[in-house]
Amino acid sequence: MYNILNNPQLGELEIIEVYEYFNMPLLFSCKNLVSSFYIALCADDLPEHDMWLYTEVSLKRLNLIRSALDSVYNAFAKPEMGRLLKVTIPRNNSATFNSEYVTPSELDENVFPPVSKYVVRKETPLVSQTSIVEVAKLLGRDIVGFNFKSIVGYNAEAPIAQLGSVLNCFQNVMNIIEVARRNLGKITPAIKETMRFYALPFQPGSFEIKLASKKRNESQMELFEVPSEQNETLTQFFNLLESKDNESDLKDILTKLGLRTTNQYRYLLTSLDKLDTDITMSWTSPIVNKDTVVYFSKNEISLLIETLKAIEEEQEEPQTIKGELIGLSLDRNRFELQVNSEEDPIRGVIGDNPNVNITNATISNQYKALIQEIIKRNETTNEVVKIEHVLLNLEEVTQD
Amino acid sequence: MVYDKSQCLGSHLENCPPDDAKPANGTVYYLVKHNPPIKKDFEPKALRDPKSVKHVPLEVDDPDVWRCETYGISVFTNPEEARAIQNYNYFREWQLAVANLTSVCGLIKKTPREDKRSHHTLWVFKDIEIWNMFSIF
Repeated sequence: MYNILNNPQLGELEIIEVYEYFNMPLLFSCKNLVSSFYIALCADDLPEHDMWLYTEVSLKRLNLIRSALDSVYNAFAKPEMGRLLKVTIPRNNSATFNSEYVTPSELDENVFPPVSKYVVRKETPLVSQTSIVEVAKLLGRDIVGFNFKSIVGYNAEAPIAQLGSVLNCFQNVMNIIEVARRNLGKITPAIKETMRFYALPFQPGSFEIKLASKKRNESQMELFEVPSEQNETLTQFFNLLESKDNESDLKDILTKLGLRTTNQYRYLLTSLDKLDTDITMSWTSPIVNKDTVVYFSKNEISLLIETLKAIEEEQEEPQTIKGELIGLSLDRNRFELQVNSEEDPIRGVIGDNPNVNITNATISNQYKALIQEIIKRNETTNEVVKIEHVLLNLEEVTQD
Repeated sequence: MVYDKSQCLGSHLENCPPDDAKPANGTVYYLVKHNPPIKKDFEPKALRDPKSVKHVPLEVDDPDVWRCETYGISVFTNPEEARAIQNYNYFREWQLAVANLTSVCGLIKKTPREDKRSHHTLWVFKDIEIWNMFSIF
């Protein structure tokens, strides 16, 4: 059924901004599914029809009109495409719908908007979402979208306290997954730098944030088909999101990624829960066939938080980590274990009753250490500020 | 008789009219196609053309807010802002009408639109013949 927001030539239209309103939008900007922009006008009150005119406008001209530097009248009297779409919409069942392209000269110019009509100046230019994503993809960046729906009160707005928490938690999850993926002991400055995400300009008309991963350098750009570090981590992250309906898969993934990831993922969901919103998270990747979209209803978020709490309880078990014992101080009750030569060693305290005779341990030997992690967080941001390691057991690795 | 929002058009929707809509009170201006005004002049968009009612980003970008507002009608407290609508060809033969609203008419909320800062949405009570309250200005 055709109406003012659906016609055969332009397809489904989505209103961007309303410039004149009386009982309904009379003059508004809109876009169709292929992101062509139009200005629509309720132009004439005919005996059995409402006549509407649609003029296609470039983003540049639309922004000039929105900046009050060009009149709306000109968009109809001097259309960039040289033509207007005239649509007659029946007001009763006996009349018929019609739409056809016409030139401005075929119309009485009185049907155009008043010459004096300028829109109220808009400070923020409209930006083509497609071009933002395309440019970022060309630079080899991964794009993660957070599209919030039904945020209490205002759909195009979000409270910054909770929103900041969501973004912070997302960054923390990415950091922790990268640590787990690379089997490292802790988040290092290098991990933080590699996994850093950047907010792209916001899209008017709905509340969606798009985040781009760090730019790849020139040499990396030749290797777009080789997944970046962020790309691998995002694969794990979206696998995690997609497992929301399958508790067994969810457990398997989180078992591999560890307690800290479970913990951080729960904080992300808790921050989303506080926004009281449904959310669609999307990933646009420069790698072919990696694009992913995952939708969470508000209810699903709440249920998943409870599931994660249960998984965390199961995971709060000490982990066995293999490495070289490089430091031991019985006086200070401290130990150091080098897991990987490229990263800082794991440092921590020796537990009260270690199930091992620590005094027999030998520096530079390889050990399997049973270590309990204790995570300390910033109470405001939930960011992991300190991870304490408690040594519970030490077993020498014998060379066969 | 006690009127409340359950008697307004649109009250079948959740939180409609919104909680901050107040009992109507004072002089408002409205455009009508007929002289004297008739019932059809006051049919809300949602009743006249329900199929075209979909998400519209108004000053408050919430589809539920928009859906609720389509069950109300546009009235102005500044007659010049209503007259500016007459500059559009579609409304060239429409006339400005005025009414002194009271609390028996419906609930009203200030809902500015672009440069029309005196725009209000009026949710009329279902059993009120609102067209009899307006006269050509």
